[in-house]
Amino acid sequence: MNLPRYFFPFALLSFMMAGCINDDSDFEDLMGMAKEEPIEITFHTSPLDEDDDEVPSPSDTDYNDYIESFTPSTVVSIVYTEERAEVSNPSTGIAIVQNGAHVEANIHSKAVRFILTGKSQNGSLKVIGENRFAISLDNLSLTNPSGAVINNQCSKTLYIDSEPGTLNTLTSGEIEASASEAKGCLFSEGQIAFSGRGRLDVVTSFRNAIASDDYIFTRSGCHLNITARSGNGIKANDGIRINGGTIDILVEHNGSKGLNSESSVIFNGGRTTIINTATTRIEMVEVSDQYPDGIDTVNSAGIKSDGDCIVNGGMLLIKCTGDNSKGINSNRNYAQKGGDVYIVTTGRKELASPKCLKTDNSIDITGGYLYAYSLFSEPIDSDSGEIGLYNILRQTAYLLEIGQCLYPLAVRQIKNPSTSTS
Amino acid sequence: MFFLWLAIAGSRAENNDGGLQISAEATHKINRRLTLSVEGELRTRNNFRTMDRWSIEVDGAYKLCSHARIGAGYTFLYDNNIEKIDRDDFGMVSRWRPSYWGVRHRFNVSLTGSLGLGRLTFSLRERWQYTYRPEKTTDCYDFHNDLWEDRQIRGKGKNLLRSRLRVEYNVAGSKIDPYISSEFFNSSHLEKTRMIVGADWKIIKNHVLSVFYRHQWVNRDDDNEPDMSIIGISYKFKF
Repeated sequence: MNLPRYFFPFALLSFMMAGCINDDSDFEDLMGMAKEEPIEITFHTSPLDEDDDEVPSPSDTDYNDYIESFTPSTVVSIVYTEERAEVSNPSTGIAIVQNGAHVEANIHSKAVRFILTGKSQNGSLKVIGENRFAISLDNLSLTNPSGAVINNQCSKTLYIDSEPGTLNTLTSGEIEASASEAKGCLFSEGQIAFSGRGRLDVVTSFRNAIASDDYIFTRSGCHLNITARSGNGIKANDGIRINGGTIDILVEHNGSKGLNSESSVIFNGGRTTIINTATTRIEMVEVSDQYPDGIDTVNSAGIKSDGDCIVNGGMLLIKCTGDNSKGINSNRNYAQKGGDVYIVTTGRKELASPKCLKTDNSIDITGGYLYAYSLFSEPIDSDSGEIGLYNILRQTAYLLEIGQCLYPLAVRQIKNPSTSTS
Repeated sequence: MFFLWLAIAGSRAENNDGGLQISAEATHKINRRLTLSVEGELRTRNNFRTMDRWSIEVDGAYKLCSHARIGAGYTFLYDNNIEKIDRDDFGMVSRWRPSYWGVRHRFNVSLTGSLGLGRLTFSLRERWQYTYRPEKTTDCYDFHNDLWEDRQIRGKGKNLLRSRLRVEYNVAGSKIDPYISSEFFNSSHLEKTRMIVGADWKIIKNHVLSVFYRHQWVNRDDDNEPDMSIIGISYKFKF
């Protein structure tokens, strides 16, 4: 018997039977799949038609955030003209120093209210004191080419109240005064509580647009329109709480954020729109174990919180177009119990993943609506992997839509800026 | 024990794959103690439908005494590495590295002891095996970015100790000798276990045809291997 004569044809036949079928998965339908266009996020020009919010009782810890808790005993009027400011100061407890339209007030009285009006291309207000006070804006247009426009060196509450129907503008130039203690165009060492149904535009080329070493609070009726060309839109050390109002923030400076808090960021109402066109800022630093190349990179984001980011209500719209730019980046948790949140990131992944929502700890969505669209990354991610999502509506590699869209018109209204959202 | 293993194999059948192994080996006896052999082999997977591996092996064996021999060999492996799919936190496919062909080089040294008890022959083989996989660049699809990108498969070496116990029965007056064997693959832990049942058919002098069934349980390895049931056909020729 000549065995090879039988064996090798058999082996060849087996080989032919075996060799030609690929066992890879078929992903043809998913590959190159044309992505649907994300919803369009733009600024609305109209304020929200919000009801007046309910002022808490005096025993409530939040009561002092409301200007209703503040009864002024002294009113200082400052009228800015191009080269000077006319100050009406009825109190001996307030020392005023002027240099052209730059005004410095050293207040020893309690319950002082400033009323600012007029226009100057080279003016500012600096306040030094130990008691909370209020600033009312009455069609003010004030520019400081070399630093902060309003600089509060008092660690107590600063109430910024825009008179109803007024348009107020604060503009900081890019010339930075040496050793300036102010961290933004509108700066306060204490907390800032915004109120009033007027509009406040803040345009800065000097550090942050609005900054506080304490926390920042907004309520219904506020209208903040911020353009940050050199830093964050709003920066607070001890938290940002949006109870209401219309807040529009455009960020253009690399590495900067729309809202940047070293503590928590909480949304209870209002409509906040953040458009961040910036990408990563690359800084040269001292060579160390942490930075072996002597290079540090700071990525931009719509919202950055060192603490929790919590959405209980309101509408939050974020669009980040810069490479590596995240929508919301929390060092702790993201919790959503209500509200409508739309996040679109369209930047490419170069140094970091441009995710819509990223946390170090958990993501827990138990209510409201979330639309997260990332063109070049996964829409949401938590480092801990603890993600709780209710009622997933749609889910792909780049899009996550979750929750109950209680206000389906919202999407159409966002697409059409001419339509007021109410 | 064999039936127990079959029962275990059956219980894990959901994760099983099936394949075919065909090999041809030529052995030449240099002298009374030394033999050299060359073997070619192919394997399939995916229930016999997909080519899994080609290999060619050169071995030398030296008979120390009637009960022991040592051996050493080199194997050139050409593997069809199975696809790898990464998923994100939601179970969505985020990356896909399709299957790809790559080479490996394997060296082995073995010591085999055997003992005949009547018609039974027991043998125990201890084999140290080192396999080196050179670095290779292959394609990977990124579903988030909707593009193909290069993926670097790092080169790596791997040491294994294979311990095989085999029992063969010489059936009186028959050219067919059945056998069973079990083999354990150990690195720092037990990576996989094989159970084989088969028979050698001495068709004519110097020509042997072996047919076997082998089941392999993967305990924990880094080669992305599933449990496998393999039917093997082997032809050996001595000259």
